[in-house]
Amino acid sequence: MPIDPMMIDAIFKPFSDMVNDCKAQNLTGEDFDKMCEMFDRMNELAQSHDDFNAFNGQIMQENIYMKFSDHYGRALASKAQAEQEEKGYDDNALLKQSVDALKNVVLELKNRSLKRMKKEARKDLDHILKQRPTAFDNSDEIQELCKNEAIIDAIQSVIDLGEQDGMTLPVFLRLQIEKGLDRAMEGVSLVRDGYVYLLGWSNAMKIHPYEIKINEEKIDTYDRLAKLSDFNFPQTDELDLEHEKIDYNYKPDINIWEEIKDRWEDLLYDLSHWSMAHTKVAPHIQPWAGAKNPHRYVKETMGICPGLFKQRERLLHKYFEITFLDIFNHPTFKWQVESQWIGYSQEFVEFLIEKVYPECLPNNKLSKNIVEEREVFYKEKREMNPEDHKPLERVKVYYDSKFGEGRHEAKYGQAERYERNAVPWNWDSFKYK
Amino acid sequence: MKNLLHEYKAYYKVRASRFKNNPKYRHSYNAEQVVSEAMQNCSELSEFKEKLGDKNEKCAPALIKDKYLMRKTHYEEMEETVRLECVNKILTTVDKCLTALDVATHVTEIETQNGIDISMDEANRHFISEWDRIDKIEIYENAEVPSKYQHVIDERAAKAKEKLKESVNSLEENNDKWRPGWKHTPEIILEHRHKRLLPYKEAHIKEQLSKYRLLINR
Repeated sequence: MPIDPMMIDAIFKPFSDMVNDCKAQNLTGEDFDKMCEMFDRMNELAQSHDDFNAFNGQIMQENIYMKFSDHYGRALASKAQAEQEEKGYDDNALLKQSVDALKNVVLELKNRSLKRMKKEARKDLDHILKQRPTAFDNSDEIQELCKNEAIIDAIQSVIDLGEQDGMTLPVFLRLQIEKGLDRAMEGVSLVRDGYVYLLGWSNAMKIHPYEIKINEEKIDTYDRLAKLSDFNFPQTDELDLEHEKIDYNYKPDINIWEEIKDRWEDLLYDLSHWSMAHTKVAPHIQPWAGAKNPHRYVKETMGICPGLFKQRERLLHKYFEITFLDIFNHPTFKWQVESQWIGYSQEFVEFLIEKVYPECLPNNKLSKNIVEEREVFYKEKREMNPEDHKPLERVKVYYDSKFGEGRHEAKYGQAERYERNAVPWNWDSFKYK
Repeated sequence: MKNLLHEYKAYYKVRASRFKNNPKYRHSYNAEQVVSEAMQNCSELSEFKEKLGDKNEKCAPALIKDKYLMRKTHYEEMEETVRLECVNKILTTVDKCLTALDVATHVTEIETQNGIDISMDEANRHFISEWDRIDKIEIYENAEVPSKYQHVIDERAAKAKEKLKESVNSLEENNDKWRPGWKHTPEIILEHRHKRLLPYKEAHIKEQLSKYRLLINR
């Protein structure tokens, strides 16, 4: 059975457009024939495969997309060359050709791309739209992020230059370089703006310190390379490589950071989960309430959890030489507390450390008085960090600073706030740091 | 036409100066300088075509050389051997390209093939994504639990082992479509480009790798 036309048509459309474009221009010759041959082969493969992945694999093995594009480029180039040779050198005609091409780009950027993107962005889901009429309208974000204006302005300056009285092609080309307009048209400066934007995000999100460092270093690298250039723009390839190197250098540190954090989060969850299983309410809440036999599942958790916890604790020490108590003076823990990403409250973490951890041993059960204390934490809603809404607040402030006051709420709605009655975290008073 | 000649001389001079003082773009600077000199030596614009010859076409391979020489240094430092294969291939063959279009085609062809090589190489990082499951198997097999629950964790261990085998079979089945006959080679993970991503010490990586190979029978 052939691949679903819904999928294939979208992929083939640009290729069939190119074939039709060449036919409309009456292009002939070896390259045009080979280009059509490649297009036929794509169709043949789409008919003979029923698995999209296998189809793609075959296309790549035969390198069909690349071969098609190569022949298309050559077919067009040979036509242009033949026309040029026929006409002979005409400075005015060449200048006009260059300026007209740029005008088309501006038209495309202004009238087509942005409108098309905005149209795509206006997806409607009636239910949500009733509550938040602009929730799926990303026009503001696109307007801010797709800074076509900067590129359009640069291209327009080049067009204006080309249309000056007495302008010639060589002067036009020289001034583009001297004024840095060629690089501005490439949008190189937008790369810097992009990283400034991302730095703002990483400062708002505070996922880990490396993300902030990476974006800061990328901006510094841009500025350093720009200074080296006579025209105040970095060379794109050099910049890309320097940026790649920054990501490369931080990747191992990020992986260690995340692995350690995930492991201690699991350990704290185990202690919370195991202690909760001892309470009277356990069979009536998730995950136990969802089981076929909630009481039996609660007993199973009580029996199994300490054995699993001890093994997880052993692995954390084996891999990173971090004991259970070391967790709380590890930089990952401090970061999670200070950025308010930590899920549990300070008083609950201290309870887990002081009361639950010492008793979480294989074949052991939690003492009655600790079970009672645990139940009170649950009932009084003092387990969770009362300031866990702060990361979202930071994001909201940053989002509104970029896309307009109130935009975050208009798009994503008001975040649900849960009742949290614990005392907020105070790192200075945390005994185990 | 006199003015036009001077204007073209000025343009070609500026074109070369884009790469001036940047040793990373020395091939481009030299190639552009040769073009500029051809222009500077013209006393009539009409002489340029003959004096230029194929000098302009040589600017494209020169720029590619600079670009890929930068990549070469970069990947050598990173010990990215699979990516280096592509870079070296381009560097040793790009001079054979006669036109800018040939350069573009040649580079894209090698890059596309290398893209598949990279995907197939990095598919071996499956081991990294399965590290946690191997740990879970170890946890289930070593956890001390009341005897009446022993069967529960035994079942969990058996299920995790089964899932691990299934995931490797599915990986090989999928990659066979991109490179017929592709087989998972877990030991590749010990090469620097993969190993550096693992947040563990060498001894732990080797230990986990042995367990993995035993579990998946590869």
